[in-house]
Amino acid sequence: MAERENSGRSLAAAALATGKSALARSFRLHRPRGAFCHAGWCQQCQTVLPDGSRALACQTPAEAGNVAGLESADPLRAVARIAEKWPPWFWETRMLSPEAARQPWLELLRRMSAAPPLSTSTSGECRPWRRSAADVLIVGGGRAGLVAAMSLALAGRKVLLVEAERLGGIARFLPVERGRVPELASAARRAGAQLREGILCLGLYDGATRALLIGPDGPETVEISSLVVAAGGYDRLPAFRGNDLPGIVGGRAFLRLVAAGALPPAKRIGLYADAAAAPRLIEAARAYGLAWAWIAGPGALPLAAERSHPHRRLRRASGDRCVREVEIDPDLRLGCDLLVLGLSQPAYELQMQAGRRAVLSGDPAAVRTAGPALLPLLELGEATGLADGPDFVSQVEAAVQAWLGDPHGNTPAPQDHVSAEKPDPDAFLCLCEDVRVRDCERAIADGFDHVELLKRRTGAGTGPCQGKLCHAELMACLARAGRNPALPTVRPLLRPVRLDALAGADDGA
Amino acid sequence: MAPDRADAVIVGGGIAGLAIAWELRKRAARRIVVLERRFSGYGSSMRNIGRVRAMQLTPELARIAIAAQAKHAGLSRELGRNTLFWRAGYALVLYDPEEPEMMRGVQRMLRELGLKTELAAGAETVRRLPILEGGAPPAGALIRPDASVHHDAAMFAYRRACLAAGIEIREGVEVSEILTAGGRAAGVVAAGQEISAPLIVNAAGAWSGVLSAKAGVKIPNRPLRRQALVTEPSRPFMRTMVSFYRPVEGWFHQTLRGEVVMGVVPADEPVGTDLSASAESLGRTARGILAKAPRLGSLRVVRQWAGLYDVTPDRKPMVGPTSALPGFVQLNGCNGRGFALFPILAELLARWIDEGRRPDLLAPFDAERFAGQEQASVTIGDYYAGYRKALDSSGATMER
Ligand SMILES: Cc1cc2nc3c(=O)[nH]c(=O)nc-3n(C[C@H](O)[C@H](O)[C@H](O)COP(=O)(O)OP(=O)(O)OC[C@H]3O[C@@H](n4cnc5c(N)ncnc54)[C@H](O)[C@@H]3O)c2cc1C
Ligand code: FES
Repeated sequence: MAERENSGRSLAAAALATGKSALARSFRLHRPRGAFCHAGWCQQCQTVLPDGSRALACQTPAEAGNVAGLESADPLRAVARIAEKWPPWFWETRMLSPEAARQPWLELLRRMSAAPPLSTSTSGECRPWRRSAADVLIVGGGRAGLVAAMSLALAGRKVLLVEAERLGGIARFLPVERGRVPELASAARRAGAQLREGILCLGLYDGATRALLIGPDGPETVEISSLVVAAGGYDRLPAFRGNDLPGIVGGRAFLRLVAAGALPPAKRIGLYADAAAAPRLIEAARAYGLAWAWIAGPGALPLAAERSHPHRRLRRASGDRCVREVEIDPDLRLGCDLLVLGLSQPAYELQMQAGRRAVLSGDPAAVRTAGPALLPLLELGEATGLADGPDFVSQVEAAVQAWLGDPHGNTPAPQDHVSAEKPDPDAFLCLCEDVRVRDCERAIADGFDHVELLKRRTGAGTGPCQGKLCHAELMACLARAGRNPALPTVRPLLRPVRLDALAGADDGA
Repeated sequence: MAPDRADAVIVGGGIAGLAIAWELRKRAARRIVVLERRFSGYGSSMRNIGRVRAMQLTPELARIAIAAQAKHAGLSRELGRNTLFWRAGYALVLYDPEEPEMMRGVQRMLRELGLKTELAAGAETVRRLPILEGGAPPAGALIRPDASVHHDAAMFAYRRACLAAGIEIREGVEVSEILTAGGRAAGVVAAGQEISAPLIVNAAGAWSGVLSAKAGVKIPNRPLRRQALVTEPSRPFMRTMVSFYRPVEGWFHQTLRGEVVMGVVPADEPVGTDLSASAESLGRTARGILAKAPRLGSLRVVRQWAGLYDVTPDRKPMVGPTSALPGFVQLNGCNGRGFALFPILAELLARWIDEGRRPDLLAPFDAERFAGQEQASVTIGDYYAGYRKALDSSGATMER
């Protein structure tokens, strides 16, 4: 069996290993939620630790928490069930007057929130703000970022590479590819690139001339003259009925879990993946000795085994507090305790902040960016939306060389793609804010058909994940209604950051 | 193509534009067209925090703000849609030991206008506002059950009411020219098309100075960026909205949805229409707010944004006809109070337009008051200076 990833098990992974996948509740409808991404971006697994602090279960070491204490019984769930029938703006036509009655009513609505309480733990430490500069900022220390760092440093550029977690990116969790990471990292270092781990890029500022970073040493602004986005991808959550059930995880999340040994072999694991993602997921499962209960996908699948169902669409997932069964076109029912969704959403936010516009492409559609950027910008690796080929290193090197020759040339222009598929109106479009597909369709029909109005009307895209889980569906919803499928302004911050981490003195230099 | 005609053209689809369209339509059957460059609310009206404070620091502003709050209290019923008017409470927290004494003057002035406030002293302030525990010790606070609305809810309520009343809201249409004929306003050119109308209202918010210049009417308004950030939601833990002016200007409160919004203002913000948020404001806001309310430190910031104030030299709105160009009417200059004030200002302005007589409440805000001094400098930094000066000269005559 392949070697395990040894970064330690998270509280969310430990819970899953004991069969518990509901870790949190949604704020508005009190629905049970679990970790989808297991990587710190989807924000669905926020919990309160024994010391009173709030934390994402997937970003907390198992020892710091208490698996049994996660997502305890919720007495308000019964009340919230009534609200499930109403749109998010249900209050609009209610309690218009008298004021004397509205006041306690609003007070009551406010108290219905399932959000965690303000943390009782004391504030963390704050480090001073620092400043630096680089010719090229590479965001993402996966294989693509590392190869680019080497090539650009060899070309004489001052290169700063930042990696939110540890060098290697998704390859850390791939049984074969992980072996090559140390070699790629040391080649980049030898070439003179600066590689920093544990540093998040939070956004671009001042007309994309500066980037804001944050890490253990505090916030830092970097003046940049060009940008390489090698930030990989997010797991894509399509709209199907029951898509918010705990026990549904992304393909990258599965790679993490299986590499950490967090999946008990007894679990029935189903895979729904597109043709691009399926091979590597199947490969990883085999390497760690895990069997699939079944495999399905909207396109072709690499394996024509008995339990493989290519060219079929996922219709719905059902279960009580965890997924137990899925329904696949036309009416095939398959059981599972864990549903893995191998669909991808390439990283797109930095490109948007750099001035590109959003387009939809693929099926299910993902957000891609196109058009000119404010600064020389290069997308590499999974951020391009393409799967890695076997001659991966030479491909990245070639892309970097072409870019050095024509820094403004990398302006992909994929077509807007609208799938004719109509998702179930009950499917969740935005998990953070509990907005369903039908709410968005209704809002568009009511004239909120500009994406900025639609966002404000429904709340979709305004939750803690800042739209990473729902932007593609939001655009698709507008496209299906014949409206302009734009994205709302992608504002900083790219990930939520504690206020006290930003409160250090400004070095003013 | 036959020229388009309307009885009134409103430039700007913010709260000012929608409110004046609504009020004009309420008074008489008219063809009203609202022209908005992007989408209604694109400007500050969907970037603000919806505080509707009656407790102002000068009598002119307090008088209009009291009327404005009463207007907001009945707005849900008037528009047929809930604006989420909520008396969360408001505290002006003081940190300078001399201030509570000075605030007594403000309290007296407000009482004369019929507004009851409480003045908490020293340690009592923290008992009233436990979120300030562990922060810089306050010297006191002026407190009253002032209200907030949800800015999007109020905008959507106006939008729907306007559409239902037959008002045309054209979005994605920029006004590039103001047309005149015989010394009067005669229409506009919008997206290359002429629309003639005898009445044009400048409700262009932070762009009102630019628009006015197109009409050849000088006004001293200047745009000024104001930034905010919002955290993830929490179970309700505070209600009262907090503001402070010294030694830095800042504010924070928990919204109905449980998020905390906050902002801290730099003293040296340059004039301009930059709508991008800055990295500096994150640090400034975190430092400024945590110095006062350290318990907020564990909350995670999810988003930041910038909006614009439309600032005037005396920090008061600009409302009314202009003698330089009859038919061209101002409804702008609301500084940081437009969301609260525009509904009532629009109601009064519509009456002024129809009856030809200026309502008394609007006298301090007459758009002609800077005639000859349009270049008057707008001192951006010290909001507080105005009222401090006023208090020094004591009592009711403030801000000249
Ligand atoms: C961070 C922040 C917090 C605030 N908090 C509060 C608060 O708590 N309480 C309060 O009362 N006020 C507050 N304000 C102020 C308030 O938001 C504004 O005073 C108010 O929204 C202004 O409304 P408006 O309609 O005049 O302007 P806007 O909403 O800016 O509308 C003007 C519109 O005109 C359009 N426009 C401009 N030029 C043209 C043209 N040539 N052609 C067509 N369209 C054009 C613009 O696109 C814009 O949409 C705050 C402001 C900010 C930035
Ligand atoms: S799912 Fe997070 S904002 Fe929509």
